[in-house]
This record gives sequence, structure tokens and C-alpha cells, in this order.
Amino acid sequence: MESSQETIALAGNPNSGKTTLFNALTGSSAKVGNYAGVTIDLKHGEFHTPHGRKLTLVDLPGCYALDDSSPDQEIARAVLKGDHEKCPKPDLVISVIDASNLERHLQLTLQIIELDIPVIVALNMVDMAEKSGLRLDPVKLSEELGVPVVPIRADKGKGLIELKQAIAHPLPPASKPHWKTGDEKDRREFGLNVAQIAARRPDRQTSSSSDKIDAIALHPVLGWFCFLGIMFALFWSIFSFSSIPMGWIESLQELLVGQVEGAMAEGDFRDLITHGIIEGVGAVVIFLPQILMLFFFIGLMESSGYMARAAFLMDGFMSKVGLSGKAFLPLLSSYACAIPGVMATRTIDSAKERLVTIFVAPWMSCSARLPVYLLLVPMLLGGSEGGVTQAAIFMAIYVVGTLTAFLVARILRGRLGPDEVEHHFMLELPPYRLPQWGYIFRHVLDRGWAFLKNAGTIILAIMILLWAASTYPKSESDDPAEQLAHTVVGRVSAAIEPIVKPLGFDGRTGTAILTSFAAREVFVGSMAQLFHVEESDEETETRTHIRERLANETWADGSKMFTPAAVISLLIFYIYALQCLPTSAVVAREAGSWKWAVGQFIFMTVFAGVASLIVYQTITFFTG
Amino acid sequence: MEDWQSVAAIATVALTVIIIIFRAKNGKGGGGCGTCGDGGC
Ligand SMILES: Nc1nc2c(ncn2[C@@H]2O[C@H](COP(=O)(O)OP(=O)(O)OP(=O)(O)O)[C@@H](O)[C@H]2O)c(=O)[nH]1
Ligand SMILES: [Mg+2]
Repeated sequence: MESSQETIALAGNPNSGKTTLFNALTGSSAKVGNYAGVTIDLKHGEFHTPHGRKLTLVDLPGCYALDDSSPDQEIARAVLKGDHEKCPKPDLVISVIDASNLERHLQLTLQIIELDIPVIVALNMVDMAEKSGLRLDPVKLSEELGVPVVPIRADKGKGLIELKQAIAHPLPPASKPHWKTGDEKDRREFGLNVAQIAARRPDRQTSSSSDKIDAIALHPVLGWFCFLGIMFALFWSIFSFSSIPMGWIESLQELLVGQVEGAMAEGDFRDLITHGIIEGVGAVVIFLPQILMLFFFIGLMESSGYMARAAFLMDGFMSKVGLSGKAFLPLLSSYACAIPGVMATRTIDSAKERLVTIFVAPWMSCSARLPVYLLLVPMLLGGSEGGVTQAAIFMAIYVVGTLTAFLVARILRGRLGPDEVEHHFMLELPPYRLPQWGYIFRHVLDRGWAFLKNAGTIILAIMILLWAASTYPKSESDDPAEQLAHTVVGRVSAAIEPIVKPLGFDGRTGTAILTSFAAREVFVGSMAQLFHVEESDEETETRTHIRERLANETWADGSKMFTPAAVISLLIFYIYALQCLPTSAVVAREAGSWKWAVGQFIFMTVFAGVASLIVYQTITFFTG
Repeated sequence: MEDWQSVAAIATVALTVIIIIFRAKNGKGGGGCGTCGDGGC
């Protein structure tokens, strides 16, 4: 960024539509959502005025006032005061205000004007204000504040041209406050007065449709039915709707293997391409439809406003474990991925509560575990896919992870002691809104693309290495089992089998688990490869689905290998193990200490192993 | 015929190792879950 380019910052209360405006002006697709605290770090972008001037635009996290204490709001404050190391003091601030909440949102605007920075007010969500019967008077508002006011609708891109035109050149000087600066009481009164003049309330208040929905969604009993119903619908549709596109991916994979086998003579390279790459990577890629589905649903919850209701509903429960309902939002995001979840803990005021939330966030099952669960769950019920029972088991997996997380949070929170300062939990309940479909669509595609990119790089690399490790060094033997035993993988398997056998796994499954410390979804690809070698010589072999192959697998004594006990044990391991280096790196950064990240890794991995051991031994003890 | 395939396979594996080492040196290692998106990831 050139330093000569002027910087404009977007500031405002949480959920006022800053990022929506940022995306509309710069063409980016930064994360938006209908709850407070979506943006937690600076976002830079560029845009042009109608006169062709290029400007730097900075999107800030939302804040209620300039003396807030949570880390995300500190960032906003630092930028506005010119104290932020990565961002110069803005030359102009666009203060984004939710027009339907003028009194509250104006306070921050007044504080920013006091900082002696030129301000333009973007009066956003005029549609919502008008719908609730408010009569807005932007001209009057502008007169009272002494700054330009532009009514806009950020989500539909209305009023953007006027807003750009208001950014005149040279930038307007900072306006003189019309109230006693620094006097909080005077400022507050001034704000209330202005709000009354500029947005006149309707004579009669009617209850909005959001209120009507909330009568059910936030009902102490019905609300929970609602919540569980929505969750169940989510899991069930992940299972049933995605089987069609999965079939396509599978056929494509078979087609590719067929083509390669037709074009090449038998040999190492062909084996690497077909068994190593196409089947290994394919075993992961096949779960793309479900990943897309999960992100679509999370996107819907975030943008409709239901996410905030879920947090509200959980508040009572959360306070029992020593966390606030606000901590539930980062935990919910962790179902997509723990990394944004851990970062979202910045919205939590209490430092101790934040640490605890960071610590347990990886136990919210993330999307990388999805392929593992989806591979294993149907094996519990005899192989067929879809169906309500599977969805229920699937949901139970998430519940188990979440409940254990709460339990550990409770213990940990107790040990950290009370906060030095009392914090007041403030959770905003925004009105329900229709999602910005274009944004959701783009967001889901982005995530899908990221998943594919990961499959094409990291997973591909691991699959190639695993193929090599399970092929070399070669032995003279013609028997595939003996051949495998001679290779690196064979030796590693033999070495770890005594360790993993009490958990119900053989050496190959143990090796697959080891590879998945690079990324969880690798497990699926590794299993596809490692449980293939023995059959690889039969030309007539019909390519069976990996799940059937596993189901037919036996121990040396002829007993079934993937019994329900073993499958459950594997599932338990994947619920608890922290197999994600990037998460550990982010935890170290956000918690401000490597010890915290290392401790978390060791704790979770040991916990996973012990839990698997106990579960496997208990089940086999009772079932014989 | 078998021979060129062995060479090609070993070359692919070696290339993979080199790329991984190269990327790790540039601080790009570690990979990622890849499915997470916004912010720092
Ligand atoms: N009806 C309506 N909704 C809008 C408008 N602008 C934004 N929204 C919605 O308001 C919600 C909040 O938007 P964001 O852009 O994430 O808000 P933000 O100010 O960046 O929020 P934080 O990052 O949490 O501070 C989203 O659901 C948007 O779709 C508008 O003009 N009209
Ligand atoms: Mg935002």
C-alpha cells in the first residue's frame, strides 16, 4: 500500500453492515453475518471515487464505544486513534449506522467526531428502519451533526454512488462538535435528542415478525425443540442429499482409473497414479458435496440471525460451565473450522474466559473430520448410506465432542479463578434477515475450492509419500501381504501394532492415523490406499467401495477387524484428537503462549487415546 | 518397459519430497485444514 494513498476507515457498532459496505465498495468477499462480532481483524481493500481517485478502505471490527475492552474492539479503537502499527490514522471515517437503532449507534459516531477526524455518516439499513415505521430525516441529521449523511442500503448496493460522491476532494475538514467534548452525559443527551429529531417513531408500535418468530425460537422449552430440530435437519440432509453428487465423483474416479489402466502397461508408475493418487485423493474429494452442504447450512444460520438465538438459548447452560453465551458463537464457528473459531474468541471481554474457549474449541468437530465420520458411521449399521439412524449417530458424535468440551471448560474455568474485573455479558439479538444469497453462494464456493486445493496439494503430496512408503523397499516375494510387510509402512505398522491394538486397530489403521496428523481428512485417503494393496494383483477385481473392503477385512485369526467396537473407538479418537498444526499455531498466537498450544495438543491427543482405549475395552468386555 | 515406470515413480516421489522441503523452508509448510477461510488462515 502506498503511503501517499489516503486511508478511509469503516467504523460502527457491531452488525451495522460495515463489512457488507466494504464488500460492495471493494468487490471483496470478506465475511459477513447477522450477528455481532463477525469481523475480528482489519481488512484492507481499495476503491475508486467517481473522479477516479484511488483510496484505501479499511474495514474495522465493530465496537460500541471507544473504551471497550475485548481484543477485537481494541483493534478498532487503536486504528481510530492512530495507534495501530499496521494501519495509519485514517484520513476520513465512514461511520456506519443502523438507521433503525439510531440512538444507540449515534454514540460511537459522536465519539469519533470528537477525535477530530473528518466523518461521513453512512445511514445504513434504511429499509429496515422504514419497515419498522421510522420516519428518517437525513438532512436534519446532517445539520445537527455537522457532517455529511448519506442514506444507503449496503446489501443491495443502493446509495453507494452518493456515498462516493460525498468523499469530496480534498477531504472535508473535521467538524466541530455541537456538544461539550469529553462530557459523556452531555454527549449522550445530545445523541438522544438528535435521534429523536432525525428518526421519528411511529405513533403505534406493532410487534415485528422477528418478535413473533422469537416467541418460539427463544421459548425455554419450544426453543430447544427448534434448535435440536434444525440441527437434526442439518445432519440428515448432509447424509441424504449429497449421495447423488458423490456418485458422480465416484464414477469419474473409476473412469479415470480405467483410462489410465487402459493406456499404460502394468508397473510402478501406473500403480502410483491409480492406487496412490486417484484412489487416495479421490477418497477424500468424494466428500466435497457434504463439505459444501455443511458450509451452506452454517452460512444460512449465520446470515439469518439464528446463530445469535442459539447463543442466547445456550446462555443459561453456558453460565453453568463458567462461560457466557457470547463464547458459544466462536464455538459454533468451530464446527466449520477451529481456526476462525479460535480467532473469533477475540470478541470475548474476559481474558480467562477467552483462554478457556480457545482451549476447548478444537473439540467442536470441524469440517475436516466430516470425511472420517462419513466413512465410518455407515459401517456401524451394515454399510448402507443415508437414513435417519445414521443421521442420529452422526449428530451424537457432535454432541459428545461438545459436551466433553463444556465439561473440560468447567474444570478449567474453575482452576483459573475469577476475573479481576466484572464483565457484563451483552449479546445482541439482531432482527431476522433474508440471507445475501450471492454472498453465501460465493462463500460456499470459496470453501469448496479451498478444500479441493488442499486435496490437490497437501493431500496429494501425502498420498504420493504414503504410496512410496508402502511400496519400497521391494521384496522378492510375490505375495502382496509379504511384500507390504517388507516396506516402510509394513515395518512401521508392525512396530505400532502392539500400541494401537488395545484400541482395536491394526498396524495399518494405526499408520493411517499417523498420516492424519498432517490433516485429518488424509485418514480416508490413507485407508483407501493401505487396505488396497493385498488385492492389487487381481486383474479381474471389481473396484469395490472402500467401505466394503474395510468391512470384509479380517485379523490373522479370521475374526472381523472393523467390528462396531473398533469403529466406535476410531470415531472417539477422531472426536478428541487435535490433529491440526495450523490450529495449534493460531492457538499459540491468540493465547499468546506456545505452552498453551503444546499443552492443548498433548492433552487432547492423550485424551483421545485413553478415551478410545476405555471405550473399546468396555464394549468388547460386554459383547465378548 | 517396467523399468521406465520405476524410474518415473521414483522421480515423482523425489520431486514431491523436494517440493515439500522447499515449501517448508519458505515457511509455507504445515499445510492446513484448507476448509477454513476468512482471516489469517
Ligand atoms: N436489511 C438490510 N440488511 C443489511 C444491510 N446492510 C447489511 N445488512 C445485513 O446486516 C448484517 C450484518 O452485516 P455485516 O456487514 O456483517 O455487519 P458488520 O458491521 O460488519 O458487523 P461486525 O463485523 O460484526 O461488526 C448482515 O446480515 C447483512 O446482510 C441493509 O442495508 N439492509
Ligand atoms: Mg464486519
